[in-house]
Amino acid sequence: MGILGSLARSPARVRPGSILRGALWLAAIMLLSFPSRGAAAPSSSEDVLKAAFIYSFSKFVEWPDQALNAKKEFCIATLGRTTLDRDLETLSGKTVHDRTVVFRKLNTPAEAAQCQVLFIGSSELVRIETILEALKDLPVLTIADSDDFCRKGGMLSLGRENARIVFDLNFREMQRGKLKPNPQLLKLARKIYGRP
Amino acid sequence: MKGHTDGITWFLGPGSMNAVGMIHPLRTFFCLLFLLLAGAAPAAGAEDEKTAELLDLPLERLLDVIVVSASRKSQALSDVSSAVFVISQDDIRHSGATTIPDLLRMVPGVQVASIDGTSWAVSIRGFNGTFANKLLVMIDGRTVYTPLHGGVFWDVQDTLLENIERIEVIRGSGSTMWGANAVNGVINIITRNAQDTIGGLLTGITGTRERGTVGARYGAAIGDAASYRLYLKHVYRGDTHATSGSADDSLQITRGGFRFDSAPGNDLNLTLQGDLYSGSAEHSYSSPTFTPPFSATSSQPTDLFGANLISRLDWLQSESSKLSLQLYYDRTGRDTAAISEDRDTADLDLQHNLRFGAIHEITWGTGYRFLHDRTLGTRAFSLAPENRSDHMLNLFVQDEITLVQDKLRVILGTKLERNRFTGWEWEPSARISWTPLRGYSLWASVTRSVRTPTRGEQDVRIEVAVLPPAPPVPLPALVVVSGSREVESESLLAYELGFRADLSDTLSMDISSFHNRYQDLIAAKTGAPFVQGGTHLVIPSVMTNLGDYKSLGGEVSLQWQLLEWWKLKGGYAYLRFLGDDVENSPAAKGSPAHQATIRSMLALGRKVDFDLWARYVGDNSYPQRVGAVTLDIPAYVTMDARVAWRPRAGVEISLVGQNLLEQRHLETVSDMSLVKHEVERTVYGKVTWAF
Repeated sequence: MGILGSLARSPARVRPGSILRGALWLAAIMLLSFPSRGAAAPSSSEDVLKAAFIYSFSKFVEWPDQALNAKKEFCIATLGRTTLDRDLETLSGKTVHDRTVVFRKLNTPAEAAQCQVLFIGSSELVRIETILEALKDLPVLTIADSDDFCRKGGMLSLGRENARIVFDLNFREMQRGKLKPNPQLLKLARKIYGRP
Repeated sequence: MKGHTDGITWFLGPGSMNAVGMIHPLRTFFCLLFLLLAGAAPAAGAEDEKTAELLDLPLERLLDVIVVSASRKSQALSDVSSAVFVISQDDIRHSGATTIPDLLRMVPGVQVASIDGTSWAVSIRGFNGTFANKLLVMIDGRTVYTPLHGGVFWDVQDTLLENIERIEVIRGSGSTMWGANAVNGVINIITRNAQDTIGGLLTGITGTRERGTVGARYGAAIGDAASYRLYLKHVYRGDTHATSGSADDSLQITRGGFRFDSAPGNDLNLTLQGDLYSGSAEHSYSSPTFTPPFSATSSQPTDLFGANLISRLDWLQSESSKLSLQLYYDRTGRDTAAISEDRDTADLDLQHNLRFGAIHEITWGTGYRFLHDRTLGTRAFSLAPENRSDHMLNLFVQDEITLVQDKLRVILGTKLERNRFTGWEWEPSARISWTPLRGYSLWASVTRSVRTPTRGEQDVRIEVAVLPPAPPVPLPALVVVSGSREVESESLLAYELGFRADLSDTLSMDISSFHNRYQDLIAAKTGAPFVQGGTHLVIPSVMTNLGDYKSLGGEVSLQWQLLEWWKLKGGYAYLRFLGDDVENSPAAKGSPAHQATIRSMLALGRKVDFDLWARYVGDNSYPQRVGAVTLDIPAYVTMDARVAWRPRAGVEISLVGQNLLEQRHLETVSDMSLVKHEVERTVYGKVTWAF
């Protein structure tokens, strides 16, 4: 505080050249010492991480038998425009509930009836009510990254807090779709709507 | 996450740094750019490996992974160690406000007062008035305050309100990051990514004062990774009530623009956007005369023109390093009865953010700006020289040190600016933030900020008033305010303390307090009168560093989701100034001691909204320049109401009543006109169709 106080009383006048030179050196030092890997907490770009969450959710939710019977595939789909497409596509070929994951890009909500997981892109959030109405009571796990998605009748919403991904869960809506969330999922959710 | 209230984006402020004397700014800039790019090694290839690693992590470990994104440094609101308020798109829709200044009335600690139908006085933590000059306002990273007087011409700051993602309001100094003018606060208007505005939108407004506003927007995708939107808006807003005679103050303005966003990879974001507007606003002017009643007031149209083009690149080079580069060009033209001004601004701005080990996060940046203006004055109002160019350069660095993970952080930083007239300026800051429990945080800060003299404070000459002959001299006296190139920068040393708490799932609270010490405030100082031509006295009044003032105060804001369908948001602000003759000073000008606001948002089913918004603004004093007197502005309480109905998806019909509690009230007066305009009770209807 002392330094700041004295600065305030006597407007700093330093030789301009030396300051700029100093700043340039500082910049150079910063650049030379980067990139510094090996931070304590692992980090990732947001889209990759969200795709990993969606994959994880798929494993932590149980679908009713009739929804998976006679299917060799486990379909993860997106509706509308989202930057997640590319990262979700890399999930293709993995195994969830003994089925091979396929990725589809949908044009209408009606097509989602054939899928198990639907991520709704931000471009579709304006007509979210219509979409959820079309999927009402179907065993399709709906996911979006909007704050009020669960309040509006979605099942899982991804959010961000303290530079980390958090998720909310709507238990009532999942029950209506006959989906059973693993207790672990309930434990880790930030907020649970329609709590049992 | 495209959330509304949870993310705050820190933009690097294009600081003002007048005419760098001995260093060539461009060379310095390119030198830095070269260093930066030479050191940058793209982290391609490793990505797939990274994905595979993440997929193997158990869910609870995923929750611990830190998100890095290509956008400029972004933080959750709960992490920010300053007094921040975010107006979301939801807040905008429920408010019923049709202009940006009216939206700002919901932020505690912000003073908003309507001067006439087309101009507003807007400030944060005091110093309000027609020429309020301690505020930095940006729209998508483009600075919109005028270097002419440091204030904002609010009549032209607009867009389709549906395009706004959020408005971030930072009360208190943001100079370390944003530079000059961010003395008392920063208002950052951020429009939505083109990806989020796909489809069509039509809106129409008509009512008692809103004579007719129409807006149209269309957005579409281009390929997999890019999208664009186009918009058009025409506003026609009628007069307000003038207390003395008739003084027209209507506004007609047409604007259009585009935005293109592309994300060719996870690690790259590219934005190109632009706006163009043209219109006319009526303002009244009082010019002094030597015959009774010693002033003539007339209302004349001001021709308005503006165009801008912004390009922005965000590049995530690796998980510990990201780079943002922004270049914009802005042209404004304003032809008023008193003076006309055309201005060109070109601004290049670079920000680099990198993490060192586990605890350091360094953000540094540099910016260069070129300004050129051409003015044409009148006898009563002119600038000398008529045309002027300025070069500005700034550098800043900040280190965010995590002392205890998720609990204790210290942020140290400084901005460095130079201008031709006042030399080098330091704007350092120190902040500390402590989060003892999740959802509770306590923060404190000490900052020094500077406001460099404006073009007007240096070069203006205004004949503000003629005082009637008074004994012992039987001559009228002309008051002439003139600028001076001798004035030094104003400075502020600010101490802030704040507390933020999520008291429950449904109730959150934000308290902030401050103690500000302003030094060397620039104001006109009256000199010794002299007789000119034997016909009148001249009272010269020259811009000087007049005095020191102190202020203290605080703000509280609350958000309470009472029921799933009922939300309340409220705020209260207290502000007090200390110093010599503070009542007649620019410090306490237009700055009420108490202000309060409360909004109620009711969702009656999924199809009907019912919103109420009440505001109290305390009494305040206004030392009016044009009349050379201090006026008392009485307190007022008023309320707006909005009912909206969505008969089918995409269609919304709403009815809004504004200022319902009284027929009309005075909010503030002008420094350019003796006419007082009162805000009246108004009603309008709005139709929105999204398809």
